[in-house]
Amino acid sequence: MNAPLSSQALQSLQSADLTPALVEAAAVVVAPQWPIATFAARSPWQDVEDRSFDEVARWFAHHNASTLYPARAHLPELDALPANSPLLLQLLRRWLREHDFPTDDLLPLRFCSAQLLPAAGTTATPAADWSALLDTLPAIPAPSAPGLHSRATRLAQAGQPAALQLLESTTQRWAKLFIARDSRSWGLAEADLYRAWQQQAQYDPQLPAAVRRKLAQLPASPEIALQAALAQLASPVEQLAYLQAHLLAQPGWAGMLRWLGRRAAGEISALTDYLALRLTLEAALTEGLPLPGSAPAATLDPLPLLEAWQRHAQLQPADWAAFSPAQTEQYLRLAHRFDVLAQCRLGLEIREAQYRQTLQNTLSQPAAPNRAEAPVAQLVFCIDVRSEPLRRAIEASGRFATYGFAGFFGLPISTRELDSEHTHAACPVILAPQAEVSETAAPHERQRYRLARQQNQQRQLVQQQIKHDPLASLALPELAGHWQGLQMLWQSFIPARWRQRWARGVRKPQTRPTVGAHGPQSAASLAQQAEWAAGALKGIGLTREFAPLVVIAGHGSHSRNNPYAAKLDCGACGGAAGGFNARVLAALCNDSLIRERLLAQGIAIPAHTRFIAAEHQTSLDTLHWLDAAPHEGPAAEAWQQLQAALPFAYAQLSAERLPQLPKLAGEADRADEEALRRAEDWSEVRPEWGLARNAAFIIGRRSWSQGHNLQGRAFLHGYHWAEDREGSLLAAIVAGPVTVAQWINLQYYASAVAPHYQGSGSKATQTVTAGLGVMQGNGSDLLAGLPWQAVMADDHTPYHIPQRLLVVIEAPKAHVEQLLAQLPAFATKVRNQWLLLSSYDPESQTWTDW
Amino acid sequence: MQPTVSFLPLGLWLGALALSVALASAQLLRTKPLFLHWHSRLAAIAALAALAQLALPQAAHSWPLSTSPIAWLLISLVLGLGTIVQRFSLRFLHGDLDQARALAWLTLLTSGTSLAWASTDSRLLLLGWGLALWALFRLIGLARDWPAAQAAARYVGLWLSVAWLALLVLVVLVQQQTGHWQVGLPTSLASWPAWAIQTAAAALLLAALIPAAQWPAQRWLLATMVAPTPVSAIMHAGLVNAGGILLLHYGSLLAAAGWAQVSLLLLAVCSILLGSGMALVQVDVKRQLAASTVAQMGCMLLQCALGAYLAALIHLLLHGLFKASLFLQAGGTVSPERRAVSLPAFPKVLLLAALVMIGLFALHPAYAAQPAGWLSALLLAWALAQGLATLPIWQWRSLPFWLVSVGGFFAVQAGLHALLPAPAAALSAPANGWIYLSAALLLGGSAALQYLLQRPRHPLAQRLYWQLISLSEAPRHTLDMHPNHLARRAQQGVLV
Repeated sequence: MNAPLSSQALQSLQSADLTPALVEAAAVVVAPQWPIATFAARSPWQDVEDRSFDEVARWFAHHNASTLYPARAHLPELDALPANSPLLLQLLRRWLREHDFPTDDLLPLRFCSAQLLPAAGTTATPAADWSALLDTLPAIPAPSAPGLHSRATRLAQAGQPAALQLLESTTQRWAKLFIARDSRSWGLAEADLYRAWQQQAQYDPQLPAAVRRKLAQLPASPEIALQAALAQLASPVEQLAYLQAHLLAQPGWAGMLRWLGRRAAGEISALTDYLALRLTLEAALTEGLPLPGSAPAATLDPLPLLEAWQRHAQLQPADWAAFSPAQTEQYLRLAHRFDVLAQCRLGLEIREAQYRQTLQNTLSQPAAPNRAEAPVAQLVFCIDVRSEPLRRAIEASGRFATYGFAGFFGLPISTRELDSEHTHAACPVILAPQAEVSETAAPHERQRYRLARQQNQQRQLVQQQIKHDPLASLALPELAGHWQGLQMLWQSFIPARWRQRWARGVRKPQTRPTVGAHGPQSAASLAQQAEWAAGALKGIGLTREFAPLVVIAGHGSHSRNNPYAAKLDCGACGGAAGGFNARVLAALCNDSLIRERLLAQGIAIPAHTRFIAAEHQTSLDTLHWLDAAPHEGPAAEAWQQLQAALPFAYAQLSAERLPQLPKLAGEADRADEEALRRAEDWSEVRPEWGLARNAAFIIGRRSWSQGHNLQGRAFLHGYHWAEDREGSLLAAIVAGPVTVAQWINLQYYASAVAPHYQGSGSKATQTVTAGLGVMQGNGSDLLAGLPWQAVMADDHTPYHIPQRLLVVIEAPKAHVEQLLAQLPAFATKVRNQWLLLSSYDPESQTWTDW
Repeated sequence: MQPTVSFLPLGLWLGALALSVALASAQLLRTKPLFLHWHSRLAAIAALAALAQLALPQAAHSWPLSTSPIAWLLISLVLGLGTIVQRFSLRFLHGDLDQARALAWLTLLTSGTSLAWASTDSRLLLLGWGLALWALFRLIGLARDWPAAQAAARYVGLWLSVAWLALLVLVVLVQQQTGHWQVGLPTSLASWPAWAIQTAAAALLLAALIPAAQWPAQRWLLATMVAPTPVSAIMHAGLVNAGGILLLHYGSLLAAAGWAQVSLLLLAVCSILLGSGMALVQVDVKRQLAASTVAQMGCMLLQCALGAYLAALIHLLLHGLFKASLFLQAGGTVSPERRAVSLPAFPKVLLLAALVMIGLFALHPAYAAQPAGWLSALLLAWALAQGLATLPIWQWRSLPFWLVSVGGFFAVQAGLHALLPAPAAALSAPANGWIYLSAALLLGGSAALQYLLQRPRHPLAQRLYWQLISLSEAPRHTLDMHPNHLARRAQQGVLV
């Protein structure tokens, strides 16, 4: 594994001026981490996708034992395979070809299959005498390690963990105090982490006195300090790998500092401070300690490899004489290369291949017969996997057509709720908001709402205020203890339905979304708004034959006492509920002025068609209506029909979804009561499964995928290739929603495959830190990723099935080739196996796997 | 007819307690979950029985169980919180390998505590308290495969054993001097030799201060975040306040050994300032709550040291409800908007506090009667002053809020005063000089803190900042940067 920069380039990076470049090159190993309140999906490997998945897997496995592949115990697909499975042989051949081993030689195939399928060939093997053979074997150079460990880590591995413990605990202490600076009345006084370190390290009693003395003489510039420490700890060619090793030790803090840095002095500057802190501390701690020895072996040890060949392919010492030296070396290298990681990789590939096969078979079957008559209502949902069961249920319950589009509905806006000082960027994090939409209401209504909210918040505000004063906080239990006690009784003993009815909170008046100015840009003009509406409708695929009623449905979730509530909301809307965007689009499409402009673009919306916004409550399996129902005309009739059919759809949805959630023994509630209880219970750790078990992204016409039960595992985006000759729509879909879906998929993948490193641990022992993230127990890395309970049904039983996202496109081969040419980033991801691509040519009815 | 009725709650309570202990013990001997719902149901029955015991007239009996309403109120608090926490844990720990064991140990914790407060025999007190501490030790080390949890459990266990041993020494000494195993002290300690009084006073201080996490014993409480949230909730609400009850029973020892009362006073004031400082500088929710518990327990012990037992007990009771609720709701504290809270100016608050105090004394002359009353009035007035500075009472729309909260406060106080008899003043107030000193220290400390807050770059402020951080951090060996034990747990399972 080589660093991306040549050693020559590295040598030239030695001066402090180029330290930012070095840090920037090192920063690819940690992805920026958003605050948990706006939980945007984050793939931990989003900056290293220019390397192949396997390469990154080997690289990261070297650090922290954090693997990118599922554990062997979690790959039952391997155990279920027959010994001569053609799929296994095909994948093995591909693997062998990739690593320059011969693919037609039977012996390697037998060796590898025997290792993958435990049922075959693990009989006890008699000990054999290899000594005679060992002398004749050629020396095989060992491949270099993919990364290197920091000096403190090597000392810990050699039996002296004190330096590493001190380094890690100090890093987490300083990092947590730094990120909480703004939200405390008494925080770190400095605005920069390194400046605080340089000035105040001498005051930290947890550091030994000798170390504090050394740290009192740090230079003022972080770059110089970093360079000096690097010179002491690593040779010039190793510097990049060394910095990466340090970043990977506690990726959460580094990621959060990157995010915070974006809003202040810059990401690289924040990371430079962090690395300067870590390396100067490590230098001070390990100075004078004897360096642990053991240079990595230059050649491979052949004995275990020979024994492996004997165990799995029954090769005795005598058999080796028949091979040429080149062949012998090849076989030994194969035994070394085909380690546990390779086996897990093959297991994962088998799982993905089987899923792909199943999905292709499903989609190849003829879809439900197309209804001849026009739909009475058209419903547009987000592409979220949780929409798929609902769409299926609604289509089955009446003359309705559903469409899928990214949940922000193409609106690059930031939203402001009624009477709030806070705006939220309600679009994917890769876009920047271009306008601000706020909720407005009649002035007297707004005044009343403001007063009611203020009265609600008063208790909170005063309690916060009193809590922060040392003397006053002593009387706080007397002032608030009875309230809190009553609240505990309320949450514990009053059933969910009564709680929901009696404590609805402050009622919001009827509001209208109003487009206003965002920052220095002027308010979006009517033309621009019409552009948004047109873009959305074209993207949805709804440009003609409008039904009397069109429902635009975002989605949101509801849960109590859940630090991860934002994770269950819409990822495309920046981690918030999608209802706002739905209302904006519905309001735009209902507006007569905008309809005129749309007509000019060729989108003719009939006068009687009404657009209505809704929000799919994923924890309650219902649609929550955000606009007033239509009263007259065809829209009202359509509304009646929809309202009559929806309860059946909801029931079907609940019947599918709820049995998958773990229940207490002996519990048998009605479906809607159970859903309500889960959403309202303050002690519920699994209010819903969210996007667990997501596996595929299907881009194609709904008529193609309609009627098939995709088990809530697929993102569904509408697309008709015939209407998109230049491929611009497809490119927009792939550049936007597919990227977000891939990040979601990799986040679930990472949290399931490496829960200790990429996940955030059990919710029971988490503690919310600075309102931005969580730590485990007494203190730990700022854990990004999903909690244990989000991917596991219980401590031993995984729920989420880790596999990479399979993108399925319904378009001819040439179309997909055009797409790959238009989006080189996407092509790189496919080539490096960060996601899988399949396409179905509807004309020739053939599948292509890319 | 009368005696049967009044024995019913007691019998019910005993029965429920015995069944709970039996269920918990059975659970610990097996691995499969066993009637998990019944832990909370039995605790509820016991809590209601304890409340009934409070309400009904006490009949005389010869069992070693207390007839004091104070004891039964505390028992119903512990058991009531136990019920709520058990119900919470049914779903919160669902799917956790250790759920059944956690519920069992929680039951043993609450049963042990209620037995300890209910008994008038000091051997039973020791037994109950020992059971509770042992259960806490096992709860902190619940995750057997997590090294950080095991290290924290050992650390905490060490401190708690010292506390229990101190109680043992105290109880044995009392038995030696009085000849019986009754909880409490004789009216006059004049017959006791000096060494006995000194040793017993020292033992009492240890037994009271360590569970309450007062300085210098605060670190054990700040190392307990490795336990699941419900365990923290019950610990902060029901276990740390043992000191108050012990001082209720054995308080006259402190008066007899003069230095002990003053030490308690000073240590309590010290812990209040320390706890408040730690809560200001720490950044994660559970650690802040633990630091505030240190300060609150300091306040309770201060009230005990001043002889205001009823106030201490009411504080203890309300703090229990307060803290448990905050811990259980700790998951909802993420917020998209982060704003530092800026405190109103010190002089303004001082003025408002003075006004409130004058008002208080006018309405409730009882506050002005004893010096301890002055302290309570001061704290209350300070808190109200802070609140009023933020949300002035002359804004008419905040009036309902003030009426409800202050009215609620007085209602609760009046109710509890009516319910509980004033405990026999085991400890009379110390000399006025000490009281003024503690008030001055508290006010001065608060003012100093405010001063330093406005000058964060001052070397003194920075030194203090880092001292506070260091005092509130958990020991290094109880930290684990990543929960590695989960990887092992996951690998032991198979995909369904």
